[in-house]
Amino acid sequence: AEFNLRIANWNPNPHHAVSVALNEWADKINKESNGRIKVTVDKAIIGKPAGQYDLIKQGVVQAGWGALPWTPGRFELSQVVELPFLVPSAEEGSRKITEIWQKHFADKEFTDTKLLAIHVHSPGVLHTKEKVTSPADLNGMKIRTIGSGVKWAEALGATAVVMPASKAHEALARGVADGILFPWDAIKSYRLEKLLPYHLEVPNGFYTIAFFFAMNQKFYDSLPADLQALIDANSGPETAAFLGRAWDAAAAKTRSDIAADPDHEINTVTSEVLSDLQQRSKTITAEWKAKAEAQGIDADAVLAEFSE
Amino acid sequence: MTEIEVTILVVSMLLGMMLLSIPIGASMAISAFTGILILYGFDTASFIIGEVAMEISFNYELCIVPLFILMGNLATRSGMSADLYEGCSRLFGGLKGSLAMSTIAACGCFAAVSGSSLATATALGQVALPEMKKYGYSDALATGAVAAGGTIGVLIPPSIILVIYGVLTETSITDLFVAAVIPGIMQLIIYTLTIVIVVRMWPKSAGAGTPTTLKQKLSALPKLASMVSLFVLIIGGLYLGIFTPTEAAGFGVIFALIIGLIRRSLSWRHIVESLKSTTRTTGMIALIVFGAFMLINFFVLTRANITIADYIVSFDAPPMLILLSILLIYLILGCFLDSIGMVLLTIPVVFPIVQNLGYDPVWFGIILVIVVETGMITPPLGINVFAIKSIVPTVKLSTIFKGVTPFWAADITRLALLIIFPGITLFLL
Amino acid sequence: MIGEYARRTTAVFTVVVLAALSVLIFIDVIGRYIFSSPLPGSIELVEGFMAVVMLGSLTQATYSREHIRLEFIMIKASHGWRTVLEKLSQFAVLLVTAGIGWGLFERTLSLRDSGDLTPVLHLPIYLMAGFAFLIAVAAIMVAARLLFSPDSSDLPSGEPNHD
Ligand code: NA
Ligand code: NA
Repeated sequence: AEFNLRIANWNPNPHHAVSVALNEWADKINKESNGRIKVTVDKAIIGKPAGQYDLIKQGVVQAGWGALPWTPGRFELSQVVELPFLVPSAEEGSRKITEIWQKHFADKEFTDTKLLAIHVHSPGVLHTKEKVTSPADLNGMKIRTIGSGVKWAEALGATAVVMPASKAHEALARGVADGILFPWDAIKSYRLEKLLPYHLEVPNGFYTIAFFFAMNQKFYDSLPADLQALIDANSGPETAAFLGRAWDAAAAKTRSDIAADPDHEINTVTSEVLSDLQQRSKTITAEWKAKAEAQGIDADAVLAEFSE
Repeated sequence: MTEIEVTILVVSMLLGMMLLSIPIGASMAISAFTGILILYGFDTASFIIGEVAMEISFNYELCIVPLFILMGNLATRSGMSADLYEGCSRLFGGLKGSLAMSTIAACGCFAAVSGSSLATATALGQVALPEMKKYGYSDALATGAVAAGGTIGVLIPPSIILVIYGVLTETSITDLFVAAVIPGIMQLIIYTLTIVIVVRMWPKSAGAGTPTTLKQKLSALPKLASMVSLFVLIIGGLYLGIFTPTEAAGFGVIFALIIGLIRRSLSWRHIVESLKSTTRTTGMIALIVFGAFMLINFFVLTRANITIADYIVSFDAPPMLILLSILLIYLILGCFLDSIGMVLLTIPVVFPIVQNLGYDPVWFGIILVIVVETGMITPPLGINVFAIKSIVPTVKLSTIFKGVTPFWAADITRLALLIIFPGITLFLL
Repeated sequence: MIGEYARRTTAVFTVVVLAALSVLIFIDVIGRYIFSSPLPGSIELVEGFMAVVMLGSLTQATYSREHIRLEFIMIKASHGWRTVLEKLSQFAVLLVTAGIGWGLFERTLSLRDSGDLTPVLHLPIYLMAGFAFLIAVAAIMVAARLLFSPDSSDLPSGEPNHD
């Protein structure tokens, strides 16, 4: 092959939705470039999760993916999508945030790589050991979360416990945490289904996490125009939606397994609780708005685009 | 140069540097760095070295290591280990071979501190060997007990080597600790039985031992209390889910400190000495963990470990055959190297293979530690034996090996049991 | 001599931070179990303390020559060869500490540009990395001093770990 495109993969679980989707993306590029680009997806982690973005920026690999909250302060505009109640599905949320980045943030964030897509995980659900239907039940509960989830968990009346997802099982089994904010599929992939029998859903999700899928800028620039066009055609909002769709499918599978399991109970919030939650989320949203406006962003316009 | 050529170069460099007595951590780091530099250039190499330096420094999980070492140092300096030795010899008093049994127990505790049976054999040999000589023990039994005793403490939690294995392979450290309890206690029992059998078959190998009255035996119990309560606190807390391993380590330090202060056996000087000694051991581990992470990154970048693992699995040999071959290699290599070095050096390549074969990572961690520790007392090369030879140069090497052989046979028996019945290790989880 | 001064300062500092680390974890657990409020940002504090403990300890272990190695050639070697091998080891350790120092320096600059913060307390990570770099410099100084002292006998040789 003329060009080797290595994709770093910080979650090498071969069954993970994004791993599967990235392999599909790789096959597509291999085929459409007639083998001129050889794409491979890693099966083991290089460096630390938090270092994935720099890994791409430095050109250790040609592309890769990682979570935005791992590098607090770096991508806080794009993290707008993580605010409560903005993501009806991973597919919709991913498409929307990539469009918003293109329109509003492209000159401010991800300027030092070729960003292929920002995608999100399927709408966040609250999974707990004890039944929870309202913030009153959450009082004093220890909820594992990361990033902007910390303030949110606190606004919900819980105590936030911050730790990596890989330690979630240990934390829940040892009573260090009583519940977790997680997308559905993560309950199975982190083996939490025996620990957490109660699940609370809200329309458009409690939260989500944003991920980048980015390419080394020099590598992109080194490609001839036709191959650059190929990469362009396989990036942007539709590629984001494709990654989100994979995540939605994985989440739906786990959700239906759990819904069929008599040991589990899935609840949805009542409309009164929902308006209480919306009220509580206002401080979180206001905080993001202040940060965005300080950078000269029309924050209200951005937020309005989510409901278009 | 191709990736395969560079991988061969890196492995040769690593072995060459190790043979030249260069610290293993440095050998791993330098050879891995050279490989990355050749294949991927300076920018990548300098990025990776920076990431790995950040990873070993700003590491939450690794804080278990200095904390448990500190706990052990405090316990030893406040006289808890010495009390254990004395308590055991009173408790077993009158029993033929009682001093050897106490030595086993004391070595176990001491190794729990240092995480190294090699350091234990060197340090405790100087105390226990003259004592046993005084009571008419044969050189073989006395040296054998010291060489073998330390290997117990390396496995019984808190086990530094299991923490490092857990961090490297992302295996739950709690699970590893809980799984180590039964194999560790088995070892204690099997070693004690070994001594009983040895003194029965060769009555001259142990002195009669001073009989102790029931009252004396009972008076031994408080002496055992401190160390036993520390152990119970940690394992009980982990098993019942009260603590995470990090919390158990933090609690262990404070608890050892409180016991020491209550016993009035811990002076300010002891505390400072414990802290200083902890930093020396931790620094040794820092270098070797740094080297291991560099090597892991080299293997991941070249994908050599996955390639090797896929290749081995492609033979379609029965997994048990592959596993036994790996363990045999460990047993042989374990003769030469302290266990922590051994595990860090080999895990980047071996772990993906074992995972591919479908073995439980917790179970394998326990088996691995037992095998490398058994290697250290394996005739005719086990490194612990040479360490003891350097303390008692007048005793013949063959005598020490004769003494250690019954313990080695006991280890192999236990290993076979644990491999045939994985449930022994895993059922507490 | 500045090297000795740096080593001693690092030694004292490392010991103090190690003690503080134990207390920090103890308070965090007590806080969570008894008062149901863990110390905010305890994970990042522990990580920061650990950087001091690990790199400071590296300095100490290098000074007292505690690094694990295969010694059977060393034991068989003549006095002259043993000195050569010893210097080779010291050179290797110097290279590695220098590498760690360089890596941390490089990360410090890059983290300053990207402005990454710790997740809860929002401390600038580059300052923490920069601080770690300073301790690594002490490790480099100790390693260099070992290598360039013509006779290492003025330095303590591998003090037994458990005296
Ligand atoms: Na131990
Ligand atoms: Na060994």
